[in-house]
Amino acid sequence: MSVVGREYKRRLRFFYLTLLFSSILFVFTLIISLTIGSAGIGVEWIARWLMFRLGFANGNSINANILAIVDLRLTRTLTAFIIGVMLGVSGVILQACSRNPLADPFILGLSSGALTFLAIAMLISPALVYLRPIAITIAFIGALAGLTLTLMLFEATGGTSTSLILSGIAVSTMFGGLSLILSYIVYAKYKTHIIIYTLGSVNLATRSDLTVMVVVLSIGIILALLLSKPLNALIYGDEYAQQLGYSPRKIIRYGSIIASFLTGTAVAFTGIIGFIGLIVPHITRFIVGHDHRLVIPASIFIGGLILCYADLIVRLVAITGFGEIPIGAITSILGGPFLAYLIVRNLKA
Amino acid sequence: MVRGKRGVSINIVAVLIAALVIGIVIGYGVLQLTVKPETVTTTITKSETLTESKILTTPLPTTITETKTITELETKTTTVTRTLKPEKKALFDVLGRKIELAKIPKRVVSLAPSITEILFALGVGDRVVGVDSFSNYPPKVVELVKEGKIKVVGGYWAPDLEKVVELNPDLVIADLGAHYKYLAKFEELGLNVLFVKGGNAVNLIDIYNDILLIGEALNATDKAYEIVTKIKEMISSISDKLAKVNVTQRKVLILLGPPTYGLWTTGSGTFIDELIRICGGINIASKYHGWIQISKEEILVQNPDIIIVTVMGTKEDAVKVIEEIMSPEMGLDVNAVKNKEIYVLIGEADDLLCRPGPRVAEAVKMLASIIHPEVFGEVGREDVVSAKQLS
Amino acid sequence: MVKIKVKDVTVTYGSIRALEDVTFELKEGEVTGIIGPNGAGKTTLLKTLARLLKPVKGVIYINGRNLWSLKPSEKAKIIAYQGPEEPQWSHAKVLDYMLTARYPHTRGFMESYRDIEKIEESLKIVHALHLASRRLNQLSSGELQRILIARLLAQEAKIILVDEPTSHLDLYYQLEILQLLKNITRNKRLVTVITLHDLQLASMYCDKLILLNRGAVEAIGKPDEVLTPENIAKTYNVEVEVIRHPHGRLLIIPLKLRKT
Repeated sequence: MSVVGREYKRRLRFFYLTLLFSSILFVFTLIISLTIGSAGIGVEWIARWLMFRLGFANGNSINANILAIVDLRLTRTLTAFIIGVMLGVSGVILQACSRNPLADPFILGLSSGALTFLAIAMLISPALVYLRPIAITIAFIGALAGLTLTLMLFEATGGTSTSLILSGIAVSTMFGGLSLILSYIVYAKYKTHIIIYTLGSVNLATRSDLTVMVVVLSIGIILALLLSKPLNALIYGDEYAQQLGYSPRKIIRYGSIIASFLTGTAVAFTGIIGFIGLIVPHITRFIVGHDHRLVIPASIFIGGLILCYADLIVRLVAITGFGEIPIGAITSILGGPFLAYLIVRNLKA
Repeated sequence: MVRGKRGVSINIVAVLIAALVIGIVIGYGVLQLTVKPETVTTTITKSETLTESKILTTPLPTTITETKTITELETKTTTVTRTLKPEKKALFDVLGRKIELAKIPKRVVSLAPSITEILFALGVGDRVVGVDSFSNYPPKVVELVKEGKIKVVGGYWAPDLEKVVELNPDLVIADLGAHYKYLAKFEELGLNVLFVKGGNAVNLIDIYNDILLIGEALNATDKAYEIVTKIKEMISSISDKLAKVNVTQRKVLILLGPPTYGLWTTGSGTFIDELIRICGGINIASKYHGWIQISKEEILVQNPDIIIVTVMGTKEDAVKVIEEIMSPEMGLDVNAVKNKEIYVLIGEADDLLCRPGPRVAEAVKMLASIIHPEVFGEVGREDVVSAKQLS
Repeated sequence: MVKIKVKDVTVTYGSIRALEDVTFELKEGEVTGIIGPNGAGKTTLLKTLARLLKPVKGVIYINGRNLWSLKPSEKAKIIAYQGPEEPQWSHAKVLDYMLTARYPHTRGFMESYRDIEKIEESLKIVHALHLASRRLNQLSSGELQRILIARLLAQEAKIILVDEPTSHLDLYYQLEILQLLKNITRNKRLVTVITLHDLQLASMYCDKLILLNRGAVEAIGKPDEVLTPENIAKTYNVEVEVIRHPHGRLLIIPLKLRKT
């Protein structure tokens, strides 16, 4: 067997193994997550819930309360998973399109842009924003606006790796300030905080929300997979991709749209959750290598699981009676040091 | 895995798409399991609109028109007119939602301290099973929580949904200001939630309506009317006295929290603004709307006669705040500072001013004494720290 | 039979005329070197041949077909270009990089046996099979250069365009790379066009030279036809002596700078 063939098959096998392992881990995490929450529910009740839901037991074995609470936990975990995937895949696409290991949906202005547009819409007509498809569209446009501004600033400042990150910081800070002012106005007008959105919360999504999220996610993943080979070509250079017959502009355009679509939806449902888009691509590439046909599917599990665990931490803290910490705080605490490590490694090289 | 030179064999894309589709199908299946197969949509009729002079009376319908949509294998829609069971009643909350509940709710959860105060004032405290962490009045509440007879279900801004559901309440009373965003989740969990204006109250009428609404829900309508009447009497006695004496209105600045947290105050459209007016004061922030921050410059321009600060802390903290406000670095060269008319409300006084509940009459009494001691006497409360006391 | 015909090609960058009425023909099995001073238009010419730049005037025919009439995917199967920069994603493995070279040919989402074979073959030719699992940033400059050439081979293009194949390489690797290019050009009957700074190497390894001077063709022909003291003085402003060594090689000896 040829050297190359062996290496190729080896990688593929390892990839399948990773998928297998992650899916088992996912099921395991899902079940564990059902037992974690501030209401004290014994494990045997979880088992009864499972039996009931699977149709093996009738309504007598469980009371409506426990049913509702465990359903609540399941919804939360699934929300966290889906949002984690959305942000993770966005991060993979953005890092590939920009050839920059520090790119992520927040730092390039997508998250803040989405939030600002949502806040503006909320001021104009709160009822409008509560219709999910409209909220998603508004957030999508906002995310795309943020990214476009960043790219424009990037072109104007010389188009180097550093200037991309700096441009992104400028844009996301500006939008961050705008959304802060807007949340202030919203508070004065409606006396409700949208502050919760700036740090993210997976608590509020309902089951019907989940359906919408799954649809968006599926479309996004399929599109991302279709983009995976062009991304593989793009990462080695614009001219390299061109001489292979691709149009770098088009790839970046499609990538921006997909990333904005996924990020916007995530922000519309759960607010800004940072760092997932940054660390998921790195961890995934560390495990399965640099072929995006493998990275994107693997990042589904890595992203989803990481956010699931962040949510579990939030719930564990809530059990102690401390209250519900925003999940964005957890991802920042974990993501910050990782970012520091990335910067150090980058600057050293 | 790897394609042959000719022909098609299983491709990784096929595997992945199959996995994705199966994943979606499984996910969707799981979701469907947790969706109730039968959805009932009820037609909502509008509630009465509030006007300044009218106090909300809640109609009690005895019949409801429902449209039942049963989704199992096919969707069937039938219109059913049914009469409410005698042990049930229905009323409208401040969002215009129709709430159907037992004539006498036995397990009530309050998500805001003002709501807890109303419940206990109505005499139905024995039916309360859960409160938020800020609920501390009447003192009985603290006792009951300690004994474990009442559970704490999280903070005012972030109620713990699991704990609420765990208590199996037949009625949850929520605050429009803090809990509106939980509406969808509440409904999904099947909780019976009644929204009151709470922190969103713009004037006293809103507070009265909240008390009446809760009274209605807890089958304590008479007591509710009694409380509201008493409050109105106390307040009118104060405003009458003021009218008789014909005092000059004094300019008041309210600061929520110490200056280090920012100069937050209440503009027009808040109930505190109305309280100040009733007590013969002028709220210098009333040209603004809502709960906003004010600049030092504006304070200087307006030159308030009195500054009232709410602080969550001890007497020492209060003293520090007064010193801070009076310090030259603060730069507040206004009448209030010059005449040492600075009052810090701690503890219960703080709660009195900020809670839109049954003790609003006491709040008015307290404010009136602060703003016009010449009419009502000195305020003389332990928890109102005056600048005059220092020095 | 592969033939490139370049006729009256003019390329501008805004108001700067980078190439002016360039005309020549190339055929398979030959290594053509583009030489000239800095800014003469060497990279521009190569990029234009690679279809990365569009001429404002003139035509390029590939086997009688207009270069710009080809679909990008078609073009990628015929022309492979390697610019002066290294691949910009250096954490990837050699295998990842090589796989992308097959994209113009790979039918379907994943690779077929033929793709794997081609990559194996290409790596073998450049003696880099043992480097397949290394990361790009773990290679020495000489190894990386060989990989880049292997990539060009794996792309199975008939026309290979390499910009500065010998920059950053020491003498050994310079000779190794150029010999490699010459061999594969002969063996596979490719059209190879490279740009070079070193006139000596150009004379040794190129079958044909195109000397550019400020965007125009100063001379075309065999190395000893093009590399005359007159041509070199005119384009490089350096006075040289050109000696024919007994071994048959040209020796170019710089004498002194010319006053411009």
